[in-house]
Amino acid sequence: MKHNMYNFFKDYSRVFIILILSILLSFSFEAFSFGYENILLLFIVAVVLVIMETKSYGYGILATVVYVLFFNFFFTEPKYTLQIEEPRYIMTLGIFLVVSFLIASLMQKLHVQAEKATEGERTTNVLYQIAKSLLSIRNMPYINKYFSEVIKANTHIENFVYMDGNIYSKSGKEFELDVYQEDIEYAIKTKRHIGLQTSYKPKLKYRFIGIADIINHQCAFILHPKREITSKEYNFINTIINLYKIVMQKEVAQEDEENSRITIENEKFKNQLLRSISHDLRTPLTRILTGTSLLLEENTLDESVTQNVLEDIVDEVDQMRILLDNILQMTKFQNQEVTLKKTKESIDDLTSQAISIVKRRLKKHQLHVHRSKDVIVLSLDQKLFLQVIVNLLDNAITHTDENSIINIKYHIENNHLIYILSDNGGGIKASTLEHIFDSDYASETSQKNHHGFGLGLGICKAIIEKHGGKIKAFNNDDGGATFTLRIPL
Amino acid sequence: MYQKILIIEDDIGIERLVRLSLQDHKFDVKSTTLGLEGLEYIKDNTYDLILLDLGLPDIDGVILIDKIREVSEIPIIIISARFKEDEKVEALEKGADDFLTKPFGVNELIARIKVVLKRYQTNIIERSLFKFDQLSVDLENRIVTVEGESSHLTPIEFNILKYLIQNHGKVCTHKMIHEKVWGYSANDGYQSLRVFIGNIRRKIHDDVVQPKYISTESGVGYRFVGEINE
Repeated sequence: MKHNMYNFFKDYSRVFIILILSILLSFSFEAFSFGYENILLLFIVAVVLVIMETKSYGYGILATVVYVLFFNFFFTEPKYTLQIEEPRYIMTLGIFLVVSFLIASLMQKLHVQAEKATEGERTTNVLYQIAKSLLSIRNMPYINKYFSEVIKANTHIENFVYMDGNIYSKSGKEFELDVYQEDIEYAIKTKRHIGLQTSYKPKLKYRFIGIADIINHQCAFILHPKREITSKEYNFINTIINLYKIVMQKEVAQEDEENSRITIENEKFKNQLLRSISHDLRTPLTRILTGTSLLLEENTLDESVTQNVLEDIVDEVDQMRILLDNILQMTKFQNQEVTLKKTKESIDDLTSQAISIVKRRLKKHQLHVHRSKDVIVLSLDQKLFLQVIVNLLDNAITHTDENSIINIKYHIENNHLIYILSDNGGGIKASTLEHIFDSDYASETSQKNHHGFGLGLGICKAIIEKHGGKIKAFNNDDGGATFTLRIPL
Repeated sequence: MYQKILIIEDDIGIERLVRLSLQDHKFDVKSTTLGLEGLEYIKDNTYDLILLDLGLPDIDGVILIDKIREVSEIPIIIISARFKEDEKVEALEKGADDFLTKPFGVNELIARIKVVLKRYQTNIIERSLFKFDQLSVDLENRIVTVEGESSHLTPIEFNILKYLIQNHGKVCTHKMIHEKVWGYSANDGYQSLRVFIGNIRRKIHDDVVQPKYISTESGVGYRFVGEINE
């Protein structure tokens, strides 16, 4: 409001100065007998100046009227009255009036055109900026925030974007979602503007603009203007909202595409997994069945043979348990459901827990642990890390001959935990080594190999990488394989 | 006289297996599938030990432990599903003596029962001199000897070891140890406790592959497992 008053006085004083100057000049014209037609031309120039300065048609008309009255009063006979004796002056003043009006209205139109052009250019510029920025943003929450920011930057209107129960805003201002949820839903349902400055609930603090045509998403823009929204701003916001719709539709389409791609990949993975699992489960099951049948049917078995058979069965069950854990974890990783539950854990503790899990199968191997000089405690997901060590141990036990030596060694190096598990039991073929952590590969080869390698190792890799670490496998100088883990502290 | 064991377990399959194998090992067994019924049995009879499944249909296992402890100091071994560490920890802190995680082997069950029963029969608290394999600990004079040589433990290390030895055979949760030794709850995720345990193990020459003295109970706590040389 203050701003408007200031403008008004500014315009008013400019008009006043132009009027005074032109009138003073007209007196000097008269004094030098330049002729009245030149005075009128001078006034036309002054009218044009007034319009240019004030950018307003109204001031031009006002100036014209002032000049007509002034000319009539000072320069036509009888002077110093508003009466006119000579008809040619009536004619002259009439033409002056018409010319001034015409010029004023022409200038006004020109002005409006220029305004529109500037406005259009500005909008185009903003749209171009948006299009350019959107090349680098994907993901709906960011897009929502971005649009909120664009509206704020260009109109200074506080605003929020609502999507599927969430509020996005760049300003970080609080929005009372629980209070207005119903209004938002109504705006979305009716696809119209409601609230502030509209016919529906105009007393609300906010204006809600429901957005239609976005598949499976509920969207609305929420404006919180401190003053009346101008038609210019209104047009701008509408343009932005149209752009928003287009961007969102594209985003939804891309998301659908992404989802169907993931679905296809998951299907593929599940099939491979099923093939691999049914094989890996059938092997121990067959052995258990053979063993139990033997025990049931042969009553004459030696006690030591019976004991051996029973131990083998327990062994196979243990292995199935580890396999089932791995399957469960792998599907979780595949569905991206894995979140780390980090706690402070001692590597001594985790190592001895892992050993106790595979202890029964360890009888025919020698295991040595070289623990770190100082106790190592770091933040990691206890269950998942345990699974890594169990898998590596299980892998070593399965793939090495009896009496092989397995070594576990760990220490801190350059702010990383280095965990090394090595054996001397034959090593890994170069062709296998290349794909050893590749779960898909494992499921393909497990048909040929006696034991499937990679499901467990694939999970190890996924878990270690989730912890920001690295896992490596290579053949060592002792004629066996070495696995190293490197995890940042 | 056979020792009497009460089984509170709603899974009929497990109940049958446990009952048969306990009877096979000369225990007098009574069983029920309902927690509150079990509580009535405890009020009316004397048992030597209770096997309690935490997942019962009629009452929360942890609450049941509270109710049992109101009437009896009888040893309790809990049976719990895997991946339910919180439940186990809570039950141990309420006064359960030990736990078994499903699936468990019969040998493991029998071994646990024997350890707990033995613990209740020998009065450990009154002893002050302990010998385990290559380790001897004099609680009164605070002297620790490992493989014939005296080993220096810091006061906190010694207090942890003392607490574990006095609760010999029993699972001590991280919280129980911390509150006993430091006198308040930990706010560092038991990081320092783990470091102290690691240091104690190094000083008393405990093995990682086959712990002779302190065993780690996954996600729960620690247990002193050293066998007492009489």
